[in-house]
Amino acid sequence: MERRGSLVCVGVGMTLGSHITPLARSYIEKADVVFTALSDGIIELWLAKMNPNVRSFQSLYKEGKSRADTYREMIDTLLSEVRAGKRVCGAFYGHPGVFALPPHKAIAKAREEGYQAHMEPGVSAEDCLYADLGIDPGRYGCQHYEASQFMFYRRRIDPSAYLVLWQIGVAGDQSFARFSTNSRYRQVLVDILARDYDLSHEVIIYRAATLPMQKPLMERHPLGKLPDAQADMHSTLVIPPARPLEPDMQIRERLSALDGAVDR
Amino acid sequence: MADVIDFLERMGQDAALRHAPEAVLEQAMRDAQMSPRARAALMSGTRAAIQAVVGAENSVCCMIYAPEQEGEEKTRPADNVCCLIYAPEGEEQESAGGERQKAA
Repeated sequence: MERRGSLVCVGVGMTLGSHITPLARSYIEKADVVFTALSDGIIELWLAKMNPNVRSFQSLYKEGKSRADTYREMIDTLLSEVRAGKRVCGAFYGHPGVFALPPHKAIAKAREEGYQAHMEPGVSAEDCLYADLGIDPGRYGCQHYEASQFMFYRRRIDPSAYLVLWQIGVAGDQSFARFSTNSRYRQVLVDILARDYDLSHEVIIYRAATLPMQKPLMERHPLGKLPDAQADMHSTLVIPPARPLEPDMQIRERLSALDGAVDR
Repeated sequence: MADVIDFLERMGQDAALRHAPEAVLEQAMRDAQMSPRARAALMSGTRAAIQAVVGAENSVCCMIYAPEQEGEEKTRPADNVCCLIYAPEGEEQESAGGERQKAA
């Protein structure tokens, strides 16, 4: 009987050796073919030791080529192996479903075509950020946006909560074909943020450790100096709350009235 | 001699090594019989030095997300696109049986 293909997309976490789950590792080891999109060539070598048939997606990237095309090719590659009846594993750094486009789309497409497909979570940069910066997203609330999308659309942000902007190293790139954008693009981002934040407000450029001997990068700058700061494709911008939480007295009174009615 | 990647994995997994002082790490690498070059690369903590020792690709693009244009999604252009979406009515009408006939 012909074997049906399947797809699993797993996360290997951020730091080599520290974050991969036993289940993710097992999927990598047992797959017929493993495709990888990882953060570092050293981590690619680590994955290559887990399965004799590991293929990197790196060759699909090219500066000047839209990443939308690269991601489409990743999805097509994963699906063609599934259709060929193979147990396919897509191994992605961090969490395969957090700011990661191809895994979601490939799984949806595989399911649409009747194949078994699912995702196994991993430790994301977001998880590392909370641990390294000592942030609990529940304390004031936390908003997350991809930096370019944040710039392309009008958003209503809440300065009494944390704001996290991903991929600030390519902020404002409408072509999705650049590997970096310069300080003038970040100045546009600062101008948008200045609608809600004072330019002296302290922001943090964060980068998780990908190798176990590394320390996470946590650079603090006044918002107004962000264009001059170094930021690459690994960098995330964290903006702490700038205003105190504002009590909604009207709603509290309504809730108190309900409490009184319950107590009676 | 221990493989550098294996040592990195062990370091990532071992609570005694993950945040260990340099002296402890240095001793662990000596115990694993790692070469002086590998030890120096790992102790430097620099990605480029470790990449050079293990022969890893040094220019890796790690971006796996691009925002999609919500409500304005672009479709890939096809080679041959027919843009005709209108045909004038009245000259001909279709009969119930599917045969075309001249309008009266």
